[in-house]
Amino acid sequence: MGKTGKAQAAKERALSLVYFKDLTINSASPQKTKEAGRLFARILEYGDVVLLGGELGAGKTTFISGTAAGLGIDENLSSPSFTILNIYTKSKLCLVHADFYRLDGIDDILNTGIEQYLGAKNTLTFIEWGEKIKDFLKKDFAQIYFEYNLLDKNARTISIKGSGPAWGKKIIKLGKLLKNAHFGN
Amino acid sequence: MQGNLPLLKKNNLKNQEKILILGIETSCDDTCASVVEDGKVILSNVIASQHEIHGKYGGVVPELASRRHVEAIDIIINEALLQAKIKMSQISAVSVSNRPGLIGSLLVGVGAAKAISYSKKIPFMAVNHLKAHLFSNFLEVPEMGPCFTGLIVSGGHTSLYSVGQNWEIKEVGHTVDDAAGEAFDKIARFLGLGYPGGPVIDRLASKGNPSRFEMPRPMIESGDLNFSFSGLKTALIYKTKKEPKILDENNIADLVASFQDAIVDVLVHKTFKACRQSGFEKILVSGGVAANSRLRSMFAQKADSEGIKLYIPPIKLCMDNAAMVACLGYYDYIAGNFSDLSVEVYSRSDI
Repeated sequence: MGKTGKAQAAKERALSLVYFKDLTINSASPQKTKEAGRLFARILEYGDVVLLGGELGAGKTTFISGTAAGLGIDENLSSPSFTILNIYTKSKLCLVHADFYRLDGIDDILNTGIEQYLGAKNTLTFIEWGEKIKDFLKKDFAQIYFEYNLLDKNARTISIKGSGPAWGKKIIKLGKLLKNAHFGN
Repeated sequence: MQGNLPLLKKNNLKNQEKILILGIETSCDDTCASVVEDGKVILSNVIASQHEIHGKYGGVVPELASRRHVEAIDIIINEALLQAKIKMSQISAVSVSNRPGLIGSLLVGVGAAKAISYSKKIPFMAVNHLKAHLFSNFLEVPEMGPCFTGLIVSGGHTSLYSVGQNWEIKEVGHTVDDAAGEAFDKIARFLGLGYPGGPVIDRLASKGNPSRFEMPRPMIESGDLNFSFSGLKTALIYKTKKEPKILDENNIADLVASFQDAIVDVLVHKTFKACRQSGFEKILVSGGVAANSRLRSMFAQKADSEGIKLYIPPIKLCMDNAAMVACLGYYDYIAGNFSDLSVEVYSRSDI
């Protein structure tokens, strides 16, 4: 391998350390979780897929409702646990809010028709309990995990990571936005 | 809506003795079909998850499981005709839910309805699933009439409606997060009580003391007619993290009874408030959660003390079913409100 080749490989290796970078913040309340979601909207690009995980009531839907507000969607986001897929549109944007809580197995998941939305034009896809589809995604995606804070019933810990260089860059940008909005670790 | 209307059969309404509507319902988990005569006589009401259906067709379609609408739809429609002792050629029109619900599921029912409409040259009516729930009681009490407050409370929906003199329906309140039925299901699952959560919690709570644990009544003082149940869900979950003993055998009945009462309290409070505000004297409650025994008794008690007439359909008509879809379709049919073959499905809807 020539000098350029090694440099290139090293650069790629260095970049690879930026992949899956974990960004962890503390949210003091549901309102702060929603605000974090609103800031998250600012780093999104059409075709993005975001998987959300964490216990019941930990803030997944609240976060997404903040993102929707940040994208200019006026409607109230209610839980798609029963309907499985809720679709919101705002001019050309299509926001898919899915919840796989009630689904068992990949057949069930594919039967919902989710595939046509993943990475589609002008579409942003958010999937609660999305770990179930993780291994079948062809594109890079972000993962957000929500946890209760045992010392404070209103507080949550939110961890954000993404696969691929594009998400790596977006998460760095997000980190700055969250820091400026006083979200600490 | 002119477009490609199917050619109407040469049966004009005056001569027709009975109007038979085939109802199809596939908005969420269950595949349902029903034949209803003149909007009030249920000749058949078939739901795929019923034991009898499983037993009869289990061999043909091994998994009549949730959302297997494509596999189940033909069987369920044929079974509805069979049980009604009716041939497809006797059906006047087809009524089907096209919103709100799971898009993939809705498409199966709507596709079947369009196919029947086109091939048999009969009209079809695409109706709102929630509006069908509001009409579910007309199957029992056709003379009920308008001017009532309707609460539709299920796994997927919790909404309050005002139905005026001219049958104009207005949504006056809704959940801002979880539906009540969803709260029951999720907490039951969290507590390891099984699925579906509603009936399990209902049974267990009947043995418990609802005043033992303090549970918030979210948004009860919000001043509006909206609901919120996710705060109640997190309050319970947090409690179990702080005091794990609460999950013990001798506490759990009281825990779920307290939880159930918090939900029922808010539903009763806001529904009667809505009724007072509109000056109506009738309340209708429908949707899967209307099967809950505590809800039925608390609503009845309050209705008694306030002098309000309360209507809650029998349990089978509270759950998702196609008879209510056929009933609503009947009224659309006689008004000539037919749908175009190009009609789409929607995951959410305004009523």
